[in-house]
Amino acid sequence: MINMDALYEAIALVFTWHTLMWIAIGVTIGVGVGAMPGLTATTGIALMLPLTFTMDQAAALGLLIGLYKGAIYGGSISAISFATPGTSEAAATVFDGHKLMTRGKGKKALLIALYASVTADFLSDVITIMIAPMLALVALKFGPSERFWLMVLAVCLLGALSGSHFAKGMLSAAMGLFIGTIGADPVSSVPRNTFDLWWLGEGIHLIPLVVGIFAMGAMLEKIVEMSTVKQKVQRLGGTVKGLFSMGGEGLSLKEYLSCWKEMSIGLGVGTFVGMLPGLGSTVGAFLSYGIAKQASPEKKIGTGKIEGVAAAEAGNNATVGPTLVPLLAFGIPGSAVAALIGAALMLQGATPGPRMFELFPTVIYSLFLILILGNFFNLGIGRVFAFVYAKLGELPPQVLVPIVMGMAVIGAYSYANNEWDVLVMLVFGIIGLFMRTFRIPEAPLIITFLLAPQAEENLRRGLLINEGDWVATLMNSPLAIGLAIAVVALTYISTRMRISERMTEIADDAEAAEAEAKAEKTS
Amino acid sequence: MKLMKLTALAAMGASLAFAAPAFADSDYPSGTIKTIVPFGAGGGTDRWARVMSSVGFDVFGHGMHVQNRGGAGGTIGWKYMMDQKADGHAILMASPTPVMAALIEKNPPYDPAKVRIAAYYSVMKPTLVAPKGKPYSTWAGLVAYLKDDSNKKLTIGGTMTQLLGPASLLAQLGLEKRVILVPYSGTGKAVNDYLGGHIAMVNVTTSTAVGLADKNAIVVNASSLEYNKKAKAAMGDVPNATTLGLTPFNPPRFVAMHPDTPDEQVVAMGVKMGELLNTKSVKRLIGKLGEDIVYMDSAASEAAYKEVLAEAQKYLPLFQ
Repeated sequence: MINMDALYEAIALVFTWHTLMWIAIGVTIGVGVGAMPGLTATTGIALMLPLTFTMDQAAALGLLIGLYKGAIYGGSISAISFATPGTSEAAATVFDGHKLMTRGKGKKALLIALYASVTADFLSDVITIMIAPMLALVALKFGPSERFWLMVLAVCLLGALSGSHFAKGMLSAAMGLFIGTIGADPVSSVPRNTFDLWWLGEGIHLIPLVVGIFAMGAMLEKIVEMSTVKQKVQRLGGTVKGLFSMGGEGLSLKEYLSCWKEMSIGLGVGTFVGMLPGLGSTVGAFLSYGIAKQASPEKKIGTGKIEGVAAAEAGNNATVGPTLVPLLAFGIPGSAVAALIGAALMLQGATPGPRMFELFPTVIYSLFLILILGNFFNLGIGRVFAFVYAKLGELPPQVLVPIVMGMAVIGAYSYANNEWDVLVMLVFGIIGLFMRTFRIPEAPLIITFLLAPQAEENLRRGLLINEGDWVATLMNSPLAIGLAIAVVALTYISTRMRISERMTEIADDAEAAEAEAKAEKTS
Repeated sequence: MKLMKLTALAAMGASLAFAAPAFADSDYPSGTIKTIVPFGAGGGTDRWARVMSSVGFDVFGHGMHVQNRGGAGGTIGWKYMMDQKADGHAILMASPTPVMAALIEKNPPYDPAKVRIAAYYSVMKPTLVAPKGKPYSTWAGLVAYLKDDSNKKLTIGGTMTQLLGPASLLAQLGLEKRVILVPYSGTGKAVNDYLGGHIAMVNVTTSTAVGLADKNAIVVNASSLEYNKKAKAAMGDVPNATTLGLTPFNPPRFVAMHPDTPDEQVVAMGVKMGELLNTKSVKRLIGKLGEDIVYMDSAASEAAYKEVLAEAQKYLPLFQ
């Protein structure tokens, strides 16, 4: 039941120049923060929180929500332009986005990233507004057993990301699995696999890992290329002048609409992942990308396709609204960003919780309006940033490499002001170079690094709750059993599909060789 | 009694801070206070630091520069504080997490006992929550339920710091083996599993317990401190460790300094912290965040910290 008086009051509060200005400022800061490697939405919001102490409710929410939306999109800008994901959730955007950039289609990639982000974000906000309490109840059904199976299912779904060479994919996944076990044991907190280094006690952070493998790895590869292949010296003056020109291949409406399937996958996956506590937008992006790749093999996602960018970006931005679902329905923040927005609401006198809709309807409606409005600001401000960055990505490698390497070092350090993270990033840079040289896919490493520790944590917690009874842990509920069956079915289907694909490839190769031999004979 | 002791210490600290600022050395501090938060931006300690630093200039005459040095369960930030000069211009906004991380670590980078405590600025009240209408929805019911061996063990979820509260109370009654302590990395995840019926009970902070009080039973407060008026109104009469005649677990939020910091600077920092916490703006903002200010000066907080350290060392093995 809509409280019309509160809705009118919220409209009057939000549609003022003052509030709209703060939304615009939030989005602008957010896109800038997101584009800078190492600076995350959480950091940006935490830094801005004290500024809201003296603001009115609508302006405070406008600044923080705008910043959140801008930062999630902003990560994709540097991911596409420099193969340097500004935030970890933009790592999946690198695969296709940067390939498009190197082909001179950077503007197209940045625009589909923006439009897919805004489309999925907008629709997931609408879903959040319409059925937030229902979504929250669904989230509660997922306990340790159900979450464990969900992680296993996600890993199975992502088989498509292992590339054409299965063994290399498995090697990458095994590396991710090991790296994920470094740090405190998820149940007893006892350190393990830390090589007796105290600073590894909490494990490897996602940001230095992603920045190292993608950004530093790519730049080291460029250095190797530059030292082995004689580069044509480009004139810097002309390139800088070109930064402000509006040229480049844009995105047509037809191309945008052709990505509907990938955006829908991103919307569904992102909304679901966003409402479950602890998963986050990085999982949303990779999961959406993996499913889209598997769902449409004919589109050849991964070879520099706008559909790949759309899937990844829709998957991460669709988590923005649903992240707030547990906060609004139960007062439980499901992520660090939700906790900060919860704190901002409390500072404004509105404690999040089940009675929030009843006690603070104006705040809730203001929040919903700002969630929706923020997307339009993101669209306008994001475009400006996208054009400038698209041109920056075209800088000659002699200029680009030191800039990106500098950004990677600053980003790794500024994530937690921790010098050890810089060392970790450099080590992963070398690992990234090794993976690129031997064509080992990066995605399985990131996925197992993200999901395996969560699967282990939930399995161990389930076993603890069920006093070591494996059957009770794994078959805890009809939902857990259903997910287990889905894992078996998916593994069977994808294995069969893979075998039949390989058989077709072998048959095609044999046919081609036969035809070639015949042609030779006749000539 | 612990409650009387803690209350007396807190009162003594408050009187020193609010009535006798003459303790403070007039030349100290002579520059910006480096305020180290041993966690990433956005957590509970970070919020306290940002609220407190917003009035830092008014109290110290110099700004408080908040630096997040997260990682390794807070040990990176603590180690960073130990690497600073012991001149009183670097403080650590700490909680029990880095203390426990160091106690668990085989080769800890510091000894959590070797630190100066300038002040306590809050004490958490680990609060046990259960569904309404269960035999264990009250403390007496819970004890009776656990004493009956024919009943199943009960699962209690929460962060490790929070779980030490009920763990210590139940261990004093010899009932620690009748519960399964389920550690979580965050309160949100634990509450999610509790509301979904995946664990029987959850141990949370006061502000979370207030939010749950409407539809759940509040079983016990494992600290020796009383709830504030607002929390009391929401949760009713809840027994605490002292009213039950048990040793409490009072997990503090505290300002730590380098162990070689001169006494007069530790004392002066404690006094200044008291002034800072007594400002209208800090009181208002902290109140809105649903937290309580519990101030103790350096002498009182160093004594209380020793007790907390001893309790943590005693009960941490329950998790391993």
